[in-house]
Amino acid sequence: MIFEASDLSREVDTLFLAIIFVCGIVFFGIVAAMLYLSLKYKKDKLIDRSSPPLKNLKLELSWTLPTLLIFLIFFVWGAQLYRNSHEDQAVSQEIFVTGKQWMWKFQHPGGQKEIDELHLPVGEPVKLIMISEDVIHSFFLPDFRIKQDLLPGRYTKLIFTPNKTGTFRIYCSQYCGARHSYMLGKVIIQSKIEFDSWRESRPVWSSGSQNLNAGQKVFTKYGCNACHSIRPKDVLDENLSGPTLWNLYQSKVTLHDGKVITADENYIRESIFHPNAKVVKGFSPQMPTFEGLIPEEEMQALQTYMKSLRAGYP
Amino acid sequence: MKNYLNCDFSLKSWFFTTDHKRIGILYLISVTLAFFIGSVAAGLIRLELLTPAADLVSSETYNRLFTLHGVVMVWFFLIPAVPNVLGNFLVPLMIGAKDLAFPRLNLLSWYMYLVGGIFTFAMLVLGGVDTGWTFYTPYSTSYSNSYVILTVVGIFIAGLSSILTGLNFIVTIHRLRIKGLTWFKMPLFIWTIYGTSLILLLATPVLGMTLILIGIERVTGIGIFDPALGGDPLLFQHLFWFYSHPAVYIMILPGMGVVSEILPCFSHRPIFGYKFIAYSSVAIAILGFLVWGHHMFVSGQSAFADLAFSILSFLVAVPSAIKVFNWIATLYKGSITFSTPMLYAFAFILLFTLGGLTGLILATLAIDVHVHDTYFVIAHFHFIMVGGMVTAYLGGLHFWWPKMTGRMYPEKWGKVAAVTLFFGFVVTFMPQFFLGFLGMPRRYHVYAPEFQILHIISTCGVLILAVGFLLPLIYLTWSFRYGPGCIDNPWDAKGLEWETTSPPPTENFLTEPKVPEMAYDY
Amino acid sequence: MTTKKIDVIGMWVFLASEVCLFLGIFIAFMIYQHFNQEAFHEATLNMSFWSGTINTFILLTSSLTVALSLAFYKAKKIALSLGSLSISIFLGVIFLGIKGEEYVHHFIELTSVHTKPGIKLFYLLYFIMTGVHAFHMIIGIMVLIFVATRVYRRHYDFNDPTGLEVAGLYWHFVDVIWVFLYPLLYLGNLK
Ligand code: HEA
Ligand code: HEA
Ligand code: HEC
Ligand code: CUA
Ligand SMILES: [Cu+2]
Repeated sequence: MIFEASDLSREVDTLFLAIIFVCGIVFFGIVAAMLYLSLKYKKDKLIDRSSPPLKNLKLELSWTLPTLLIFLIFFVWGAQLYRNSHEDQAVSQEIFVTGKQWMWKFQHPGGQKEIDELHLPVGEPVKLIMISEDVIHSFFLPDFRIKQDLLPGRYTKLIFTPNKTGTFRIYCSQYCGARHSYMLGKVIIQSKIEFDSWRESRPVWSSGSQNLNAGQKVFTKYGCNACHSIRPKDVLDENLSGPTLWNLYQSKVTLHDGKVITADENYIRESIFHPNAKVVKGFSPQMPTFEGLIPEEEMQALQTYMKSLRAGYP
Repeated sequence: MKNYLNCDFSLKSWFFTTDHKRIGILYLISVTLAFFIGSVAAGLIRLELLTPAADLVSSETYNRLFTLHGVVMVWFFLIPAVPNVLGNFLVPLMIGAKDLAFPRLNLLSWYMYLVGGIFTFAMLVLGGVDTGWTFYTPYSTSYSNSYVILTVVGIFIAGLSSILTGLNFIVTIHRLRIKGLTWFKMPLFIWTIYGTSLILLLATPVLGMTLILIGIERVTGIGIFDPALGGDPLLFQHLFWFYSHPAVYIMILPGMGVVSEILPCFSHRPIFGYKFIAYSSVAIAILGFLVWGHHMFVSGQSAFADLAFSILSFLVAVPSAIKVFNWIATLYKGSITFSTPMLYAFAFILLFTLGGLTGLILATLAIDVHVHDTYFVIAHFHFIMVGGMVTAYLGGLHFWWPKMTGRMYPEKWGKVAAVTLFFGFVVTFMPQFFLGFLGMPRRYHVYAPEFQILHIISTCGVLILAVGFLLPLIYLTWSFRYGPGCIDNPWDAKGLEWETTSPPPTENFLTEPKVPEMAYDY
Repeated sequence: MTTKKIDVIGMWVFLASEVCLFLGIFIAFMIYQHFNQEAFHEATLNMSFWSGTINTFILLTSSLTVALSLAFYKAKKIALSLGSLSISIFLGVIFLGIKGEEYVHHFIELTSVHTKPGIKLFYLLYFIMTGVHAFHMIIGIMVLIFVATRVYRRHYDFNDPTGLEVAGLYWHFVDVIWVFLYPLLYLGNLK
């Protein structure tokens, strides 16, 4: 059974049916023309066959141009829907997804962890920040009509809004080795109340925002604070060699070669694992690499922590 | 009468021949063998999928089966099928030449194909490879513990063979046309072979390089594609599809050429819109290089790239549409006989159009996000590659069978086989569209029970399909020895290849053929 | 059509295919250069400027002598033709010798555990690119030797020495590839 578990699902289905409809008409037109002509001009029929036409520019245009037009309509419609569903929008939850041969690991902002099961509240947009620990996987939610590959070493994201409660399928749709077809999971969409009580019932080590605290711990554990301030620029911390990380996430960073980039999850990850790849203007490349030292879960906690370093963070 | 078949019976005269016709026959035999290896794998895949659980084979074996199936079918069957069998046989005949431009190179191509095949076969015997025909990294470079290198070397050598074949055709078509045979008097089959050769020549080296990189990464463990080692896995996908998308047009253009020959012959009138069909072949060959990213809509490439590749994919479909419409118009005021090749041509038009239309659905961004890597894609390309190209290949084989062997095949059985094939095909692959839309991912060895009924239908279809493929194998083999002899031009067809005896003498034309006023002057 | 035309065209078509082979790897190199600018820059600093430059000079000279050999043959000066051809072959071998000497050092860099990943990537791509090129050089030298024996036996038509011309084309192509490799791999420190 396939469900329409988000608004997007319905829109995709509408587009799909519309294209099927148009293509159906074209196809049956072709079948009809083929049958009609080949029976009408069957060899033994007595019929006028004098001077068969060999070319006709008008005719050529009369089928090429409408075809082109129909194609363009398909394209625009599909692209529009795609743009809308991929737009970065404000979400109520950011969830880290880690794919690994052959399981899914989820980490909620509150620190709750799940394996092969993902609980979500209905009606709230959610953003998945996904990464793979080994080969490429693909997170496929057929009932939501979405899918996105998980790459090793780089985040990809997926945004969607469930509009139905229930249990829906998760498939891994990118071939990833022997047990690819066993790499399944469930999304469990609950009402807000149910979801909250589920969340409360999950073990959390300490009160408050677990991921945040964990992130703070990781930050000091690896000695990041030796070089990085976590307060606004104008607060003069004693001579630290690195830039302040206050308000870094989603800000514009000028690099030493003059390029300006937006600091997203991938940039932060790269800055920690390959610090010399993009050096901030005005700083010397002296940050050591932490590649292979910080495991994926700590990295996710760090990411949450980085995002919290701004005014008005809840 | 001495002809190329009975001039010398020794084995040596076959294995060291430089006669393009004999090399065509050598390819015919080897390609058929490859098809049956690939088919047995397909049969086992379908049998395993009868039930949702894993009962026939283990998941390791299943993965090796579909990889073997894809690799053998694509590189050892479909890419060489029409160009190397029919193309080899017909190109010189159709342009009034004695042979290809480089006959010895042609033989070398066949040997390379053979060597590539041996490597692939060795891989199979040793235990197979489990990466899928797409070899996605880092799985293929760092995780798979199967015979990746052996396979990659096999494909690399087969690729070299393709390059040499393409080169041979291009030079031949440019230089060896008989006096008076201008470009626009050439049969359309030649135009499509020309387009195919261009792609073979320009895209295959990129595949070669990519395969070398995979091999090196596996041997040295230094990352080119594996991010853990400093590389970028998407680069592999870009390089692979930069070759493999043009390659899918290698797998359809020659089929379009065959159909463009069969239709006018059995409609007994010149083809409609010759120039449009001719130019659209070249347009497909060129535009085909610009759309590779449509295989990567959910891979994590930039949104801008997604949009660009989507619109380009729609544009590359226009020339195909032009061809379909012109073929239909060719029936108008024709004099139509429903002989076996014509049935195949009709089946080609229907199935290719269905496959192509579903290609449009895949090119639509929002929908591809849903159906990417599901059975919808599987159905799409089997419609084009099996429903389209294999059908065209069989149609061409029947059409030129009298030319190649001097014998007729049993017409009644031919028709039965064509119709069986068509229905078997639809029963096999139509359910897969539904499976795909319902969310059944591809390369799944076990699956949810809700999909079973559609899988059962599909597997039943294969049984019908198998009959449709085995019949021609049996009666054509029979006809090669015992078939009734035929006159030189049993179809009353036009084209220089019919101006000589059937089968042709070794030197092709005993007297110089006369070039007609126009192509297809029925 | 004369066979001359056919062979020469065949070679040109073949070279078109070769161009695509190298294009693929050049593009891969440039993409990685873009992502690892620091490391690649650092690595090019380590490249021996002089080996690269001398080798470029050697190859360009060998191209010239191949062209001369063709001209001499047409003028029926067999000894001179053979002489210039031998110089080309000799220069080709010298090129490979210098390359081999470089390889020894670079191989140590490549396999050393102390080398940074980005620099390793550079060396790996360097080995692939120059390796494929060197492979073409070896084929080229064998072709030239083969052609030389035929020149010696005056096998070719004096007005129209197709084999010599085709071999020359191939040799020029291999040189041109090097002319593109050289700035990419060796001239980083001029920036
Ligand atoms: C011979 C092989 C062949 C051919 C010719 C094609 C032709 C086309 N293909 Fe297909 N394709 C494959 C083989 C082929 N494909 C394979 C093997 C894969 C999967 C690889 C893998 O992942 O393993 C694939 C996958 C594939 C994808 C990626 C799917 C995914 O993985 O998510 C896409 C997406 O755009 C696509 C699109 C197209 C399009 C637009 C065409 C067009 O060229 C089709 C043009 C033809 C027509 C459109 C029909 C005729 C037109 C008319 C009659 C016009 C009238 C119509 C209207 C007015 C509506 N193909
Ligand atoms: C290029 C040509 C080509 C051809 C001709 C075919 C022909 C067929 N293919 Fe395949 N196919 C591919 C190219 C091709 N395929 C590719 C590229 C893939 C992707 C691989 C990948 O994911 O890496 C694929 C994948 C693929 C899958 C998906 C596997 C998966 O994702 O898990 C399936 C499943 O049904 C399938 C089925 C078939 C069938 C039933 C046929 C039939 O048409 C074959 C019918 C022929 C016969 C049946 C022959 C006659 C009978 C015998 C020889 C006796 C044995 C018969 C039995 C045991 C029944 N193919
Ligand atoms: C030895 C000092 C040092 C340590 C320890 C250090 N850094 Fe840095 N870091 C720097 C310097 C200097 C820069 C600026 C130059 C650059 O971009 O490489 C920087 C840049 C960054 C940036 C990019 C900042 C921007 O404004 O764009 C991030 C993010 C970052 N570091 C995070 C961390 C984290 C997390 C840790 C601990 C795990 C850490 N750093 C440890 C010195 C350090
Ligand atoms: Cu993970 Cu497939
Ligand atoms: Cu494609």
